[in-house]
Amino acid sequence: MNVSERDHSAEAEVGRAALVGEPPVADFDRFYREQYRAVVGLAYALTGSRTAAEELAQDAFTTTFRKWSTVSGYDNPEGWVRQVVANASRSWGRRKGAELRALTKFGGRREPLVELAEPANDFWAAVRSLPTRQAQVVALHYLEDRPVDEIAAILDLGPGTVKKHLHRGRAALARTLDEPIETDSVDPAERSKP
Amino acid sequence: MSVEEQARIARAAIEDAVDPLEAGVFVPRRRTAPVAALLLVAVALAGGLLAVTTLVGDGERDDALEAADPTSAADASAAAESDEVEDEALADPETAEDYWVLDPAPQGLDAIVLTDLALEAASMLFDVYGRGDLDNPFAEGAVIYGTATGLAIEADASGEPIDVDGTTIYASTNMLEWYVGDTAHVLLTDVLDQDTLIEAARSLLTEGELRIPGLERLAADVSPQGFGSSITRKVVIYGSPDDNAPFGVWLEPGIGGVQADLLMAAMAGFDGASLDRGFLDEETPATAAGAWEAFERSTSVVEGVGVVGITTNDEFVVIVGQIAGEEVILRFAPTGRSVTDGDIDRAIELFATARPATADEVDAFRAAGTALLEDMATDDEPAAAATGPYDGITDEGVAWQIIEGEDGVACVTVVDGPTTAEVCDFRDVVAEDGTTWQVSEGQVTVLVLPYRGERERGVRALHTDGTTGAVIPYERGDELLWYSVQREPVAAIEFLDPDDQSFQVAVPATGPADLWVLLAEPAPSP
Repeated sequence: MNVSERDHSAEAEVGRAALVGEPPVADFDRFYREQYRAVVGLAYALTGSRTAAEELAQDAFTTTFRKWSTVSGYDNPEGWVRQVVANASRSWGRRKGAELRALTKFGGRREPLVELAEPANDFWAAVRSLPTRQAQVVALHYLEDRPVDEIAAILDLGPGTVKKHLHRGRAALARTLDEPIETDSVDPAERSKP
Repeated sequence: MSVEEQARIARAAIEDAVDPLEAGVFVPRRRTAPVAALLLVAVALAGGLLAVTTLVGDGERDDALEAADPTSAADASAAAESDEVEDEALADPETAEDYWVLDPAPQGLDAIVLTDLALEAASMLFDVYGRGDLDNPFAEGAVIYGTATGLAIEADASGEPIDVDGTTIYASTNMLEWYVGDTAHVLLTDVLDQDTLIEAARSLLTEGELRIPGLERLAADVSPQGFGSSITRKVVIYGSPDDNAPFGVWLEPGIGGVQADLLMAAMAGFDGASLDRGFLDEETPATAAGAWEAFERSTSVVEGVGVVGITTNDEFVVIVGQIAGEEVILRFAPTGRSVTDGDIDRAIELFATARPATADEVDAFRAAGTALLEDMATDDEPAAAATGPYDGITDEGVAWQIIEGEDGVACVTVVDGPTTAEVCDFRDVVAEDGTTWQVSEGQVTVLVLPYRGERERGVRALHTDGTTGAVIPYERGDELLWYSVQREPVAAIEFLDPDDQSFQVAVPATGPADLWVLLAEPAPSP
């Protein structure tokens, strides 16, 4: 008996008692395929490592899947998975920093992860140097072109808070990147949700 | 070039980078029942060296992670219900063919992603090794997981597992794996190219030991660092000591998922007695002590101290390692505040002078490790209790939000159960010296203090009985800090300044039932 047969027979007993309704897996598959690249991209922007980004994105989708029966009922499941990956990116950075400090303490060395060419790498490095919330807001805005209200929904923030973070983030980026702050221009974040 | 223009370039770069990525098909695995401890053998092949730990099984790990759900009872119930639905869905034969990963599932995996190239690699392995008995992983019923990452990132997506003469082959983005019956697993990850991977598998399958060309060099490259790992750069082989399957693990010390493995290993304790077989090199005694001794030689050694792993979250710094062949585990947990950089330094210093752990300490560590893993497993999830647009939510479920409008109006809303406190407009509440404002509403008092850059380094409560609370440090970049002094008599909140410019902010004599201190950026000038 091959494994498939064995498992199926074993599962059959369980399956008879299992729910009959359509599982949410198919919906999740579609969701996963539609959102995967964008979520990796967000994690990439926030971590600076595509390898880490892929892992964090997969972890985020795994987390989402485990709660899919609940998350799929949300108004904005794609926002939920982005919040997961944004939080995970923050945690990744925190742990990475701690471990790097420990490595340094022991005399180890590790090459920095630089995978994007300049000036893109400089820009995202500047974003990552922002306070966490600012970095998340800026990344969602510039990477996914999301307006304030969508960012607020994803990060569970008030629109005013998002505006504050975006404004300060842009100003900080301008300083870091040695660009003048365009105070007289219309902030694209102010535009309404499409 | 303006920020907007640079952002457009940066965005295009990210899009280009992720464009080749294929999502493939998300394949959840079935939850497995708790199993006996699996052996995890960490092998640093530089010099043919090896370290041994014991790893708990998937089921236990799953249980630990799931028990960590920090949500409320209602949410936990909902999550449990969700898991039941998931299990049932996965157990449904109608879906099992498409969404089934055989039992036992690969350790540490919740899901895999299918890609074509990985299937191709797996197929090649199948072709190379054919089929056979337990010595051959491609025995009837075996399952193969393939890998794409490292072999070719541009692998095309593939939807379905393939069946080759009763062998179902799956692929994932970062591992190659196959099963021998129900017990043995082999994972070969993207540290290897395809040819090397196949050669390694051949040596394992035909000669009973793993010989991976180039691995020694790789180990030598990383061994001076001694700990930390990227999960994408490791080779893992493990199995049950109760069968004849080969087992063992080679880990590149680095950063990432290996940390959890190390913690799990430490939690489970060390069991050298069962390590009497496996693939051990000629120079390494097949015992745990011998393995540790070997590992000590091979990894980061500072005054005789070998560090296996270090990890931290907001609450713990945990270091796993050994001294003179003895297990040493150091858990540092500051009281009443979050872990800081200084704590990590101190933990390392303490580790360098650590003694072998006692049995009680190991037990304590296991408990702490469980908590840490639980926290690590859950702290990335959005707080389920946060149903509104809040800036944050504390562990106690108190949500807070600061809103600052264009005209300088600011609001703080604290929601603690049925109690809500809200104050708007900094201009009305900032004292003349600009240091503080507060509001009480019901049983909640909010004390908001302006964040003042690098000057302040810590905040603590001064209790009415003369004792002081733990110092909560904060650093530049911390925009907000909450500090709960729940139902304790607090006379004042003291800010500690390294330049001896500490100051105190008195708390009303009546004392709040709940006091939350929020450090915010300076309020705009009136």
